[in-house]
Amino acid sequence: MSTRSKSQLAVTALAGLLCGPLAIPAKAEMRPTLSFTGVPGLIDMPSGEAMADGNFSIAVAGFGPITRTTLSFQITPWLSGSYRIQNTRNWNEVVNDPANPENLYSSYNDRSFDLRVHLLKESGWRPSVTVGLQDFAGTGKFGAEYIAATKTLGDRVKITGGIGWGRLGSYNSFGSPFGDRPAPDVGQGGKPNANTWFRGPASFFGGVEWQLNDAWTVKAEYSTDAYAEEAGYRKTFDRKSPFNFGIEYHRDETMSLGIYSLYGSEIGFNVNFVLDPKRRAMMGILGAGPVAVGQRPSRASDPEAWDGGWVTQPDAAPILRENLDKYLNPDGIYIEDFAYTATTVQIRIRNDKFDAGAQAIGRTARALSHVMPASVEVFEIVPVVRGMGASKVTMRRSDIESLEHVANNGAVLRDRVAFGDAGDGLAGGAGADPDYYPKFNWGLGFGYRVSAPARGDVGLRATASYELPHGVVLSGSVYGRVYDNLDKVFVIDKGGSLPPVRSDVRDYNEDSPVALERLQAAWYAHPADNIYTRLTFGYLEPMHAGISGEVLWKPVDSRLALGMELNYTKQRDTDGGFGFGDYDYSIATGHVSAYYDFGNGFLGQLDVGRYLAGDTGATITLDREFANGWKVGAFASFTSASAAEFGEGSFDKGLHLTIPMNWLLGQPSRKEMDATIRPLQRDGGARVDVQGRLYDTIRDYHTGRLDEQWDSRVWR
Amino acid sequence: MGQQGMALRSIGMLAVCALALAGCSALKGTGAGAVLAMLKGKGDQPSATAIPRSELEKAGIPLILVRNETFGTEAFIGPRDSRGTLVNWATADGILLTLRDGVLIETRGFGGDLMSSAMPGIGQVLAGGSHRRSYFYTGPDDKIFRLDVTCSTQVAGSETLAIYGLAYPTRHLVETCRGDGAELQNEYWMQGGLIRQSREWISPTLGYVELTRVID
Repeated sequence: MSTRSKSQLAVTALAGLLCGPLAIPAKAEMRPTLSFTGVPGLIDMPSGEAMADGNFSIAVAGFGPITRTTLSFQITPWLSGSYRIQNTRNWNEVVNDPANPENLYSSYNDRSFDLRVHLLKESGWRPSVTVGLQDFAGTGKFGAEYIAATKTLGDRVKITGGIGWGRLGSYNSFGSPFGDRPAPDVGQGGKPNANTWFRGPASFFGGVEWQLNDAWTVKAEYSTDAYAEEAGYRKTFDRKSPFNFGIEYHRDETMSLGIYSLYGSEIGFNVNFVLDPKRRAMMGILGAGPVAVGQRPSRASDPEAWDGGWVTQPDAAPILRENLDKYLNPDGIYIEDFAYTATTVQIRIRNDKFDAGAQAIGRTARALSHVMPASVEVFEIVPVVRGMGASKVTMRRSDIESLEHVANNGAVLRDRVAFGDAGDGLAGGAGADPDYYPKFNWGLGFGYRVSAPARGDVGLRATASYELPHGVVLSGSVYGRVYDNLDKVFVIDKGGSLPPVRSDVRDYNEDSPVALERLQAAWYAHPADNIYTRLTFGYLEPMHAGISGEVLWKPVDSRLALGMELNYTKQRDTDGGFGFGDYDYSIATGHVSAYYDFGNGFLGQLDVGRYLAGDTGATITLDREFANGWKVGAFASFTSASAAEFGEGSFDKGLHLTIPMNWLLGQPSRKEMDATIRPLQRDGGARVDVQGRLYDTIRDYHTGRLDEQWDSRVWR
Repeated sequence: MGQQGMALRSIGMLAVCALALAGCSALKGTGAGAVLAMLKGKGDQPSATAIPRSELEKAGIPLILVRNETFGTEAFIGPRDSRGTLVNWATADGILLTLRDGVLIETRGFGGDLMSSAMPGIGQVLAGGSHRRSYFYTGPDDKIFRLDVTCSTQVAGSETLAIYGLAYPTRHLVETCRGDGAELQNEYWMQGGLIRQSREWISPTLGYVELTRVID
C-alpha cells in the first residue's frame, strides 16, 4: 500500500523506545525535572517551570499504596497538558461501606487531566512562573490549583515557592483568600468545575533542588497536600510529616530515576522519560544517498541529442519505463503511469518507502534526469495514493541540473516548482506496469485489546490487503488472543442510557478468542479537480459493519479542506464472527467536516453530525504534528446526549499519539504506530471507526505537509 | 536527422553501475566492495587500520578513510562519480560525501547531514585571507539550519604523516571560522598541492570528520 501502514502502539513498545539512544550532550544549565504528578516540579509539589516546547514525557511514580502514571506534552512554549492515572491500593481495607459504589473497589483508579500555563520565563531577577489546574475535569478527587514560581540561583540551585488550593491547600492553610470552595458538582464527572477553582483554603508550599553534578540532584520540599482521603479517611498510609526528601539520577536529558522519603513514613520512586519529538532517535534519516543528477550535453556540443524525433520511436515508452524502473524500484517507487511529449514528461508514482513525500519526488526527478532524452525540459511528477493522483509537482529539468550543489538548494528549488491538481494526466500512458496489480500485502504482528486499565488481552493480528488498479482495495484483519487477564476485570456500572454502541467493548473482547476485526472493500477516486471520494463496504470495524461513503474537497495548496461522510451500519455480534444477532441495531450516521492547517504543525478539525448512538453534535480535534511525522493531539465531542445519558465522564474525549517508525529506526519507512487514549470509552460521541479516511490519505502530498520536509529532503 | 542516431536504448549495466556502487565495473572484482563495506565503530569487524596497504591496493581504486569522531565510526569511501572538480565519494552501502576540489561540501546518509553549502575552493583556504563558508544542515524537526561563518587560515607547521606504512611530508594548515556565535576549525594537511588529510566540520549533530587519502 502506498499509504501509511499503521499499527497499534503497544505499551511495551513505547517503554522500549523511551529507553532509546537519545543521548544529547548535557549542558550546564538546569533543566526542569518531573514531580510525582509528572509535571515540572519538586517531589510531590509542582514548580514554576515548563518543559521545552514540544517535549513529551512519561512519568511513573509511587509511594506506599499510591502509583501515578502521567503522560505530559508541552503543547506550546506556554501551554502544557497532562493525563494521569492514579492507582490507590488498599482503598477499601478500612472503610467498608458498600452503600457508596466507590467502595466496591479494592484498588481505585482515577484518571485526571491537568493544564499548565507558563506565565513568565525566568530572566534576570524574574522567576519562572506557572499557573496550573490539576484534575480540572475529573471527579475532582485530585482537584488542585496553584501558582508556582521557581528561581535559579547560580547554576546549581533552584528554589520554588507557590500557593495551592484544593488538594494543595489542604494542609496548614493560611485562609481562603477568594472565599469558600463549593462542593464540586461532580455529576457524571469529566466536566470542568470552574466555580471551585482557586476557592477555599490556600497554603504555601515550596522546596529546593540542588544539582550536585550533571547526573545527581537532591531535593527537599514542604508539601501542602494533606491526603485527607487516602491517609485520613481510608488510612492507606500514614502521613506523619509534610517534609519530603529525595535524590535523583539523571542519566541524560531523556531518562531519570529518583528515590525519596515521603511524608515521614513512606519510600517512593519516580522513573521518567522525556522525549523531544523534534530530535530523531537515530539523529536523522540514514539510508543511501541518491544518484547524481544526470546532466544533458549542451545543445551546441550535441544538437542530435536534443532532437525530439525519438517520440515517434515505437518502443520508446517501454524502454524509458524499463530504464526508470532501474532507478526507482530500489527506492520503493513504482510507476503508476507514464506519458510524454518531446518536451514534457508526466510520471505517476507510488511511494512505498520514504516517509517524506519530498524525498520521493526528488528521487524521481533524479531518475528522469538520467533517462529522459534531452529534449524533455518539463518534469511533471504525480504522487498517487490508492489510485488517486494526490497532486502534480511541475519542475524544470534545467533547475534540477543547475541547483544540485547550490547553497540552500531545497528552498531555492521550492521557489521554482509549481504545485497543482493531479488532473487527468497526459494522453498515451499505458498505466501501471502490467505485472504490478493486483498487489497482495500481508502482515503478522503483536496486538492487544484493552478491556479496563491494565486489563485485557494480548495476541497476534494478521492483516492482508489485495490492491487492484483504479483505487480498489480489499483488506481485512484477524486477531487471535494468546494471553489475557480478563478474569481480573472488575467494573461497576458507569451509568448512561445510550445504546451500547461502544461500551460493550469488554463483551467483544471476552467473547472473541479469535475475531474478524475487518473485512472490507474500498474504492477511492479523484473524479474532479480538488475532489476526492471513498466508498467502503463490509465489516468496517470490530463492532459495526455496513457502508461508508466520503467526499473531500482539498485544493493542493489550501489550508482548508471540507468533507462529508455518510454511513449506514449494523452492530456486529460480540463473538467476532459474521453475524448480527446479538443486537438489533442499525443506524445512519454522518458528518460534515472542516479541516484547517494553522501552520507550524498545528492542525484543527471540526466534525458536525450524527453519531453512532443517535446523538447529534460536534467533535473538535487539535493536533500538533512535527515535520518528522510525530503527532500528538486531543479531541472532545459535545453531543445531544446529556451527562446522565452519557454516563461517567459526561462526554467523550481523549488523546491521539502517532510515532513514525522511521523516527525510531532512522531507516526510510512509511510505517507508524498509533494510539488513542480515552479516560473512559462510553457510547456518546462515537463514530464508525472506518479505516483510510481521505484527508490523511492525500495530505502527505499537499503543500502544507510536503513543505515541512521539502527543504531537508528533496535533495536527500 | 535519422532516428537511428538518437534511438533510445536500455541503460542496462549503466544504471546498475550508478545505483549499486559495489557492482560498478570500476570497483568490481578486486575486493573494493569488501573494503568499502567496512563501516566500523560497532560490530566485530576488523579495524580499518588493521588492513595492510597491499590489500587496499588490490581494490584498484582511490580510497579515503573517513573517521567520525562523534560516533567513533570509520569507513572507506571510493569515488562513485564525478563532474568537473566535484567528486561523489561513497561507502558500499551508499553513504555519500561530496568533495569539490578536495573540500567537503555535502554529505548524505549520516543523519544530521550537510545538505548544501557555499564553500571556498582549497586555493582560497590556503591563500590565508578572510573568506566565508555557509553551511545548510539538517537539524531538529527535519528543518534546514544555516550557519554563516567567516574564516581565516594559519600555517601550523610542517608535519610528517604516517599513513598505512608510508610517510608523507605535509604542511599543516588550520582554518578558524567564526559566526552566529559558533567557532569551528577545519584542518588541512597539504602534500604540495594535494590534500593528503583533512579534518572538516559537517554539522552540530555529526561534528567533524577526518578524511585521509590512503590510496591515490
